[in-house]
Amino acid sequence: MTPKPYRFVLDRVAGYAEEVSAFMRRRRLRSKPFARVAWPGGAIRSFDAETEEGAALFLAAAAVIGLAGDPEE
Amino acid sequence: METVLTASSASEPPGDAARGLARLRELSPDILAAAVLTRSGQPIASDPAGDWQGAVAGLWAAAEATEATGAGAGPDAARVHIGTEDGEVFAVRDDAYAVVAVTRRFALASLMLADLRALLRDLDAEPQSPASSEEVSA
Repeated sequence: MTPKPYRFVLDRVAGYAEEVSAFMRRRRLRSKPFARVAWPGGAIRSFDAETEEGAALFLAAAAVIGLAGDPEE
Repeated sequence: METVLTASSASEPPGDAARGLARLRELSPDILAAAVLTRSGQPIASDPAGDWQGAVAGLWAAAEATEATGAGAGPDAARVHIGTEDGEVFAVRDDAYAVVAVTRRFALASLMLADLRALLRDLDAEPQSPASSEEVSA
């Protein structure tokens, strides 16, 4: 049976809305500063900026980013 | 103005590291700056020029200061990925070389790391001679 037109539109709109919300959720999560270190064996650790190790990583990253200059220029 | 990379001076032809770096930037428009260094921290090629030696040494020192936990963790960090509001830093290294790239926010991490590792593999295939990097304009 062919679905009624409004059902088709509703399904499509709901689908797009879900995609958008998932994208925004991922983007929100990624917008938080993060620092990850990986080792040859496959171990990976994340560090918060509040920790001493994380602060050192963010400080070092800022120095490297500074070499790129202003991206808007 | 077009930027051309040289390995040590304008009279020498650009090495594979410089060419690889230029290719990397072509492949990844998100990259704002990048450098190839030896494992010991000697710059081989960079774009733009700058104190990559000091900055990258600080990055690896901070990474090494962290303790690896979990099974399979080795003594030295092999990869660092840091995201800040100003951009992201990707750094990978093997026994011989290190490649560091600064990108815009939200660069695709998997793609970027794959590109950096590919460059490392290319460098391993043909050893480079460490030299101070220099930028010239064509």
